[in-house]
Amino acid sequence: MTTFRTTPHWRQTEAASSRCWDALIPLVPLVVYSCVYYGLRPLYVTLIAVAAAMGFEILGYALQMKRAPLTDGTAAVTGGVIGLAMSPIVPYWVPVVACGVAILAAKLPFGGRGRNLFNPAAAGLAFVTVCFPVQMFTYPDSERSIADLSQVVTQTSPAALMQAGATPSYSPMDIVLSNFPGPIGSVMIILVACILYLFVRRASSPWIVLPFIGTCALYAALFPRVSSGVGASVLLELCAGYLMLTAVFLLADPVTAPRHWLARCVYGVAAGILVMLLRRVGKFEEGACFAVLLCNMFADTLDRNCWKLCYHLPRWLKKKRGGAVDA
Amino acid sequence: MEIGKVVEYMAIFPLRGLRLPALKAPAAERAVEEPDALSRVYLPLSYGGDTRLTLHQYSSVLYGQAVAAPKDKKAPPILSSVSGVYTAKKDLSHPVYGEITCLVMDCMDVRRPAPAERVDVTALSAQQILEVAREHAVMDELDGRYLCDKLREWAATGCDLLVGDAVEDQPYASAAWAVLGESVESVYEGLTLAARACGAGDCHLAVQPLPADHRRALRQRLGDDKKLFITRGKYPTVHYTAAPKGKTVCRIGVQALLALYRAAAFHEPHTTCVVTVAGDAVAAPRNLRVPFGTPASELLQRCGLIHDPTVLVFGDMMTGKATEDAEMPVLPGVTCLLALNAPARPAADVCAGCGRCVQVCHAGLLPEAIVQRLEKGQNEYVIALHPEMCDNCGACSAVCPAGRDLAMQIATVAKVIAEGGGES
Repeated sequence: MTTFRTTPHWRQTEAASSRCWDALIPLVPLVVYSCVYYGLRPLYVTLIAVAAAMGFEILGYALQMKRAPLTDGTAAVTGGVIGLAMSPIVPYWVPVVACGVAILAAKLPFGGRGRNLFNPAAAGLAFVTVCFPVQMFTYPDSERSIADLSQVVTQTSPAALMQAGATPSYSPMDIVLSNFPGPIGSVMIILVACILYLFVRRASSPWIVLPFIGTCALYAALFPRVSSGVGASVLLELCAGYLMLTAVFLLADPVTAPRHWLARCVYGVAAGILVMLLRRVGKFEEGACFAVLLCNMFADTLDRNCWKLCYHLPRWLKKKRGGAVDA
Repeated sequence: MEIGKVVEYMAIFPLRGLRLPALKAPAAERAVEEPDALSRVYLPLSYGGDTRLTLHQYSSVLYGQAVAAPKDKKAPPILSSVSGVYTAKKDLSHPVYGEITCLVMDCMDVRRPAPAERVDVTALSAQQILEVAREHAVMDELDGRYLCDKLREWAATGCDLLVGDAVEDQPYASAAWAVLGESVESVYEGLTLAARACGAGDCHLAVQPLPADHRRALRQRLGDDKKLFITRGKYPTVHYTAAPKGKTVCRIGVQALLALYRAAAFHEPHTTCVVTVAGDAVAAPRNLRVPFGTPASELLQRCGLIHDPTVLVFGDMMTGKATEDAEMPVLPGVTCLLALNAPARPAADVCAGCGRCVQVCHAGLLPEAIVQRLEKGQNEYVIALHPEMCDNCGACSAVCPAGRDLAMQIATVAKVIAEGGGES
């Protein structure tokens, strides 16, 4: 709490940028966990993505003859999330290209931090998914080291297997501990801890994340793509690809998400349905970034209409009952 | 930590309002004090309507004497709050009332005369009560309006529940609590008079959860638990859950109720107010009963200062108006004076879209969306978001991590709409 000279004199003092730094902290255990499986390469991929995002931010602001506000942490979060959505053996230039698109095409042309219409990281990932799907979705065998890239044994990811109509044969423990081919940041158990951390720090809204995960789980239970049962379907759909990463970092980005609680709920549910539909009918094994971009477009409309509903419905009901007025 | 608090903290449910720190002690624990002497007071020539000065410069004025008469004969007169000499006129830029012309009165005596013999008020009709409120210029401290005007309006529109408001939901203010502690019986008498005047079906006093012993004592003095309603919830406390569904609720400040009772029973004019003097620069925070027009410097002198304040606030932390001029007078509608050692607010940042303003808004508005559309000049969308429903509680500005002045901008546009500017 701090007092100021202007009304209201009492204000909660938490800088907006502290929320971004809060979002960066959960990235660390995800990278560390991935390094245990694959060596230092996931760390390099993530660091290069973070450095590239910050570099493009500096470049973009330099072109506008301005000083880049790097201390707000938004560029670092964008880079970090892009890095985590990559395969551990992705060529280093792929995250760099994704960061370039994210910062120079999706963030700065809209006015920079706080003004972007689309989530920059989702836009960058969508671009490289469409342009370089082979590099994006080629994963190494999680049982072997990737110290020498020429000797790497690649393996089909559970998401790709499910898209092809096959049933991945992983034990629930392997799935939860991410002992399968997948992106760097797809460690279910750590992502759940990240979600709780961000809820407690109020850096992420439960009104978006929980309906999104709930919808994905419900969809997976109702329309399973695997033959090993409902439970396995839910677990595999939630853990494969970067769905949980999307829930934590892309979808709940406060800048591009609605503000009203009901709009957030609808937004989460809509994104969940879209992600699952894109997985079922889409060309790529993971289409969460496209779902996020599609939902971003309707964030403002959702906000307005859900607010109208919540604002006018109780008044209409009150009026119908006889009209109460507070003086 | 309670489970409810954890749930609220994690924003799982859209709980509106803001939890403010409790800074009422030690002022709330002390009895009301009255200064023995004052050097001068500033009496406003008018509180809104047109008035005519009824005395010449350097003429003596007695306590309760009319110094200005309204041109509208139905409006209350401006009464002197002290016995003294009218020495000059002064134009002031008051933080609450804006530009006002005041009479500077050099005080000779600030003591109020002994009350007249008590008159039985039980037989007074509604019209007689309204006339008493007008003659004695009783003003409601909640909004600085004349009580007779408010009661007349409510009598016309209808009032089902009349509430004597002693909630004091902001951090420092405890003047209403002090008034209740001093004379809760008289306040309740005033409430019944006001209820009779406006034809209210029911009435009660409303306070925030007080310490248990204080609450028990008040209930004992009132003799009926139903007369005292304890509010719940966070700042701003605007919803009285005791109100029957579909009924109209009206509020009056407890100081105005006490003044109404004393005007009816003792023919005492309403010339004083109880003000909480507090803040981090004040040495001994307390509640003081002072005549209307007492300069802030006199109140601060009485309570002592630890160091020179950077700003004086007329009102409490959330809705108070700031000034640096210690000569500004305390007028009806001001129940709290803060002396703060506060820095200037840093420049506002870009909205990060956290949605906390939406979460705390008790009116259920979208503060950030209103301001965003206002900045883009999309006036038709602004009107559709109903900014006029904002009561300027300041909760949205207080929680904004970007430090934006949402409440101030919304209040400005709400004022324009209220004046009919939104139609164009």
